[in-house]
Amino acid sequence: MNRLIAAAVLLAFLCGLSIGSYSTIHKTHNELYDNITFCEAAYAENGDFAAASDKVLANWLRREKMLSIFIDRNITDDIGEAISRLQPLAQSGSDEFLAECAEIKIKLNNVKKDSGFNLRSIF
Amino acid sequence: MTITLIRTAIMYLFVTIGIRLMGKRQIGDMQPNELVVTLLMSEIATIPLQDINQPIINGIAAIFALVIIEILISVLTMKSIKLRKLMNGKSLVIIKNGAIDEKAMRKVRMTVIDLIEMLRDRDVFDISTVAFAVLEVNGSLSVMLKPEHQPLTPIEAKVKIKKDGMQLPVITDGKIIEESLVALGITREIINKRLKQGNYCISDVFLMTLDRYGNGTTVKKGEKV
Repeated sequence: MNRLIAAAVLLAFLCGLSIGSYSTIHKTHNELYDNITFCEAAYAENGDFAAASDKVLANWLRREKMLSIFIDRNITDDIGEAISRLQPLAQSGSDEFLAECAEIKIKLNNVKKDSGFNLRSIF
Repeated sequence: MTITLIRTAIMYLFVTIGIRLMGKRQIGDMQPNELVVTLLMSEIATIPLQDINQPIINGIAAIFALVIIEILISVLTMKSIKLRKLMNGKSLVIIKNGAIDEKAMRKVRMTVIDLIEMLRDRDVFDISTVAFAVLEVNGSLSVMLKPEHQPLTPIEAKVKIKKDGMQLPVITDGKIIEESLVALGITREIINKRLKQGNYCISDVFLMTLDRYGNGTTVKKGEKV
């Protein structure tokens, strides 16, 4: 009986952990994805895309610590490096800015896909 | 380096909790599913230790998931004989009424040499003395000797024996173990009496074992057993 109670407690802990990781990853994804989309739109409309990329970096730095509790740090480092390249690209007005934005979006999507309940993640 | 040390300590703690929750069993006594869980657990625990880029929480979650599965399986196998057979297999009679069952041996891929070795391990050196031998699900061999080769018991010999009970340590390194007194149902007076008989004080005693009748052994500090 005691072992069953322990198993129930552990199960509750794991469920909490799963929900926590799922919600952290999805929140981070949605927020950063929107920020990047805003950057792309600002670039297309000749808006202040430098300020938008600053916002992406600030948001990423805020979210990264929490995210690295749940996903491989190589992945977060990879995304962090890509995001940090946005500012210099925005300042230099390079055409690579949009390509970098698209790459970050793909990386963010991959993180979201890997955390989701799907066959690709399971197998 | 420091991170590795901290992560090792954390994983050690969680693996210990996991193993404790699974219950006390020696590796050799484990059922197949318990062995699988233990092997997987040890493998999973090393991943976050070797690669500090891996979140430690993933390792802990996997260990706890295995513990939950193991507990649930053990509860279900206790309730269902079919599931028990499926998960753990069933014991197999290798020697029946003194005759070796070769078919059963082939089934478990056991050679005669293996059988003889296992019998020797059970202190049986002559196979002709064995009435029954059963290969248990944990891989051990249970042996029943033919009646004429079984050791004589006091009842068969009609011998009256002195009452005896299991001895527990009541003093170790000069300290009384209260739990042993409770378990044996004896009081400190019995200890004091024995100390008086031997002319020791408690701090002189390295080990004192007693049974529920007050019989036991006392070893003084620095004395040979």
